[in-house]
Amino acid sequence: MPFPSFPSVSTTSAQPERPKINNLLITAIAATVLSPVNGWAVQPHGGAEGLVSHELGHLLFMLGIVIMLIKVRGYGRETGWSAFTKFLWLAIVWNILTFSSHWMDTGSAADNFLIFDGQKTGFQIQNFLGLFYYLSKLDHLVLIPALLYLLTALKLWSRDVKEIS
Amino acid sequence: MIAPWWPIITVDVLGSITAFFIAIRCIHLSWGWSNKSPDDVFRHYAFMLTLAIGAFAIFRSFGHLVKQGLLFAGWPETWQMIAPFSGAGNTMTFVTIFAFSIYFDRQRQVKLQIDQSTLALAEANAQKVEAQKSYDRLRSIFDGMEDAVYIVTENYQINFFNRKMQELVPSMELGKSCFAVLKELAEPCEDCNLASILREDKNISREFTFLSSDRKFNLLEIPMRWIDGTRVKLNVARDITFQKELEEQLLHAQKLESIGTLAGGIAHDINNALTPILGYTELALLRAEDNEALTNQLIEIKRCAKRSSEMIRRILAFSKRQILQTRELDINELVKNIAKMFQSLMEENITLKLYLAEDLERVSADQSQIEQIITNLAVNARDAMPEGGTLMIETMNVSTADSICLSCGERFIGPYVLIVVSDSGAGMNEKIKERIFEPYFTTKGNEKGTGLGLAMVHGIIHQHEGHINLYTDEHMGTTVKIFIPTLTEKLSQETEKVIDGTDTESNYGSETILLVEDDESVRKLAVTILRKFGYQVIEADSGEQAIELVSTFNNTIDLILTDVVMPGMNGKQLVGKIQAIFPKIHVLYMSGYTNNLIASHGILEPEIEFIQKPFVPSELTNKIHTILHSN
Repeated sequence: MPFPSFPSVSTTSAQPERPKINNLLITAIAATVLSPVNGWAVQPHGGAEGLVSHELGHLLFMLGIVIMLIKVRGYGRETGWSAFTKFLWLAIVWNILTFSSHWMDTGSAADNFLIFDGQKTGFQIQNFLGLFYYLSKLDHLVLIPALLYLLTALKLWSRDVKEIS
Repeated sequence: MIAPWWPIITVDVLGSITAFFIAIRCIHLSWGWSNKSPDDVFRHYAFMLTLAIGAFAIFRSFGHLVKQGLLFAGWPETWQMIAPFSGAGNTMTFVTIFAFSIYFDRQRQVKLQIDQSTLALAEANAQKVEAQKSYDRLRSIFDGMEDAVYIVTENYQINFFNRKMQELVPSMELGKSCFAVLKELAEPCEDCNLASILREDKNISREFTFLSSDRKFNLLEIPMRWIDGTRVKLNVARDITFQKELEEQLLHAQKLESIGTLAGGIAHDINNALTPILGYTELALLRAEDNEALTNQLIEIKRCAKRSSEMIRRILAFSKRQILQTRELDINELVKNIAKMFQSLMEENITLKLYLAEDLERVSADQSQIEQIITNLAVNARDAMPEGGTLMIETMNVSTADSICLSCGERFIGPYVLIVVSDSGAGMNEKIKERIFEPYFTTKGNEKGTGLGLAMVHGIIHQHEGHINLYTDEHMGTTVKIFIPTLTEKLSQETEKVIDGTDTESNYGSETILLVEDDESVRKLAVTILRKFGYQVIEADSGEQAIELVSTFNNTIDLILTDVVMPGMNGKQLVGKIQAIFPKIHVLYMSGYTNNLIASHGILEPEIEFIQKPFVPSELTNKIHTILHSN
């Protein structure tokens, strides 16, 4: 798919002049109206592009969790922080699982589904990657404990009368 | 191997529902925790982070439930349309979580810094409160002091003063110059020693008077370093007015004591000298009945001797060293008698008024001395009213709660008989009033007054354990108040004995008398008198000789007539030794001055018989006769 290009602008005068802003705006509007092409930037992102942005989101999420994990190390075993640390570790594991799962959604593993009457009924595990893909779809088994640890941390903080110092 | 897909769907659906509710619970908890301490920025941040994580979990769970629902319903195309939005939403929550995570530590640090600042602020506040408490405590101490305290800088500026100082100098103000406030001067005082005190770093103590007060102060000036390091002078002013007054009173009392001691010594010798003069004159008068010229001369000698004797008596009276012969007295009767006698002596233009309390308590006093006092005061009052006026004598019972004797400075409490002698005469100014009780101080001139009258009154009253206050002002008359303690118990009969009778005929006797007297002329006179009246006399010139004679004349002596003050063994000691052998022997002491050997504060012990020198023959024989025939 060709990358859309802006029409070139040239002048006939001997001495080149800097185009005025108004001229550029008029030219852009005219080009958009008179010569339309696919404008991907304003369309819903499905497919690979949507996946990439989502995966980047996962990476940012994971990066944020790692940053917090590094900072939390200094807080020791104060009330709630231990549970919060466990939440962070599980959140990383969850991110890795889901990141991998999303990545493999577009790969060959996704071709091993058994479909009956338009519904997925089974998955053919051919190798370790396939097994990993299958298990990665059970990510709630990691996410729920992670959220429970967060809940525990908040409960402990909330009950603790001592101020965080 | 084919793995069923339904477990995946089941876990996804159930996990989504569970995650949804856990996320809501997390947000709720975090909200509550944050609200427990609204000022805590980290809690607020933690809530926002939880909200982002919760939003992710809710959004994702909702998306997955919709997905599973649509796929189950057989509408995969619909899901295909929604899926990008669901994914984008999840991505948005991921980015939000990431954004919050960046600030995780920063928020934590801010929280710690705020905590530290709050703690530091609390500590600073606590220190400030403690400092204020310390200041208040010190201020209370300074303000509680009865000493006036102020601090002056080297530039003469006042930078501290306490309550007492403010009371003394109401215009006291911080920052003002000390010379302006304390002395109302435009420049430092001529005798200012601020610079020298600070330079020499030495304390100085001196007497000082503030312009606004007539009281005397001891000003202690102390160089010190102020809190900002500058040199200042601490001034502590202690009111010594009362102390000064006490010192003056003490000096006055010491002066009177010295005069009294001197008077006592003189009285002893002069009375010893006057005794033979009076005695022999009396005896000579008996023999010179037919010679008128000689009789007149002897009478003149006797009058002069009596006058000298009276003078000595007065000196002893004001110095509180005379012997008092106390008895139960009705002051009202006494005043009435004096008034009768005095009425005839007064000028016609003077009105005498008596206001006597009907139920006046009795007192224990020497009648003649009290008569002397009232007469003296009445004469003074009369003399103060040459152009006439009113003389009032009042008596009343008073019970003083806490009065001060203005003449001796003592506080006195209890029931007293008050005698008030007032006149409407010229009064006295403050200068005269201050010296009025001094011996030999008179305002009447040498011809009219001896200067011993009020001094004697003062002495007699205090010897009676009473007090005297004098109130006067120029042209306002004078009021003298005499307080005599009321009699609490009836006096014994022995102290009420009154020597009466002057019938010399009845004073003859034949008993044996041991005469002990170191003064030869007195001894000879006494021997002459006693033998003339028929008595057997054994002479001794000392206590030691008397003891020997007593053992020689074993049990034949009826009475010991002894001087009190003698070299070696005194009269009291002598009597003690003789009475140890002969307890029933009669004793008569004679003395011109007893030095309190036989009397306590001038009041004779009840069993003691005494005759004051100088005496005339009839007084001596009368006294001896009374003693020998009393039982």
